[in-house]
Amino acid sequence: MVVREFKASDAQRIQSLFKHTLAENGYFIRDESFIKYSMEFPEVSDDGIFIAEANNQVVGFAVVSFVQEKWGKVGVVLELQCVDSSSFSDLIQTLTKYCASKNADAMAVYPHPSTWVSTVLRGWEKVEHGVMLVKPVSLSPLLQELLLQEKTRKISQGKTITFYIDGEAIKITDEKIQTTEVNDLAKGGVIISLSSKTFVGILLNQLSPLLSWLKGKIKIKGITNIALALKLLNELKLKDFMYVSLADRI
Amino acid sequence: MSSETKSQRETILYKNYVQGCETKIVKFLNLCFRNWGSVKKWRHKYPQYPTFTNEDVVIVEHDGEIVGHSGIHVRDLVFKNRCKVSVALTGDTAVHPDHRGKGIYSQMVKRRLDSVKSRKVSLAFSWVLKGSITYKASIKSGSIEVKQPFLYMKMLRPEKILVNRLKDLFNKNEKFRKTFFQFGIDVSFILGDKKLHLEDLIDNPVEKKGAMQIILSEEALPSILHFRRPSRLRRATTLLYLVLSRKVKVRLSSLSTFLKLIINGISIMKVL
Repeated sequence: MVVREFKASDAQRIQSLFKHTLAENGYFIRDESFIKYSMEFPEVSDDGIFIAEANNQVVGFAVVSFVQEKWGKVGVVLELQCVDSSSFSDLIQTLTKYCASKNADAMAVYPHPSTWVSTVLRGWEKVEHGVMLVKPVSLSPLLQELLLQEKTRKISQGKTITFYIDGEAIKITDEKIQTTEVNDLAKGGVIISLSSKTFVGILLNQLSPLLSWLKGKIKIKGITNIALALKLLNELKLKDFMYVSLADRI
Repeated sequence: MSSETKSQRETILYKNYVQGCETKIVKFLNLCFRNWGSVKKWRHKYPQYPTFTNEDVVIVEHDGEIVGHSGIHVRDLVFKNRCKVSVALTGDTAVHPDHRGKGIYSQMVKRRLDSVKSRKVSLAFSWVLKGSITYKASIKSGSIEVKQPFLYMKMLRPEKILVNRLKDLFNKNEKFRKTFFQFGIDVSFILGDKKLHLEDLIDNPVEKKGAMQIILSEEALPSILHFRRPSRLRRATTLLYLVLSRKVKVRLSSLSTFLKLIINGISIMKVL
């Protein structure tokens, strides 16, 4: 494996890397314009972009910027994606040497949580650095997109399911998904009522559908529909942390 | 409503970004956030953002001066590689200290939400400090907190960092300094094999009667660097955690020094 500087032809392969590493997660889209944007931060120099390559494949990507804090100069790794522990370990070694060569006093990385992170970063200190807040704005487009997916459609096959979220009803049948009148609720098959906060909490893997139902945060019409509704909600949620790199934050 | 308040409200103007006011915006952000950054940074963050439109920056003006700023990015979020939805990322929301409490913040947030609703945005993301006013206001208005992985830090030059941090803490926070030196104890910090006397780092040291050594491990430095940011309760628990986990050890020269520490410790925590 080699860790080298970025070349223009890498952009496409970096996009594939993100699709691979964050496959079961939620992430902000990385098309060519956003990859270019993350590399053009004012504090990033041309030699601060690194590519790990093995067998002619891009297996790691990192972008380093420098920030002057009151207590010293910090090398901040804005982007860091790797496919495995060896690419991660090699990149971290290169980044550490690079930061030291630029007279940085400290270094900060925010890796996507993987089993190897704590092993490679043994001796590094974990720091809490603010929290991410999510506010539901209009859930209908999101829910429609999620319910259109093949896996979710398989679960709901043959049934009419209505999500009733904060006064808005979205009905899914075999033929279509549509927003519907609240008065039509009684006619539907499975009715899942929950607040937008609970829905977003489940979606982003912060709440368990089963526990939320037991706590009364989710109401499901009909005892026979409970298993199906919980299975559907479980399918909708992310499998891991919602990862947002430092470059993506506003 | 008094006529004065009324006339003040009438002169407050909410508008979208127009080219040419970048310097004024950055001056305002540096006033509100202290060390926000440069015009180059602002330009990269907003006009050069791939999906930027002028609606993405809301500016509030009073008598031609900027008194409010709020930024937003609209971007696609990919869920499990299977579907794409539009989401908004919000930040850099600030109101001039002289104009706080007039509803400017909530008006800006409302304008922002109205603007993104028409762009079929499903969720709005923001990043704030836990326990801050913005955090509390956002939770109250229906936001949920989403757990995030940890940030990892490595100290490349721990001694330099400690010296700079202590200088900053003692030389810039007058109230803290005064309370700390009511102690009358000679304080020294030990990091690895390096010993730092507090009186070498600060201006105008005072006469000391007891001695206290604070032995720091390198692992304690990241927590100390972020010490002034979280709430007072979190600062107290961080300090307690550092002591209990033996990342910070305190050695006192006598029982009277220990008693002084107990008596003055609470007043120090109050001004920290």
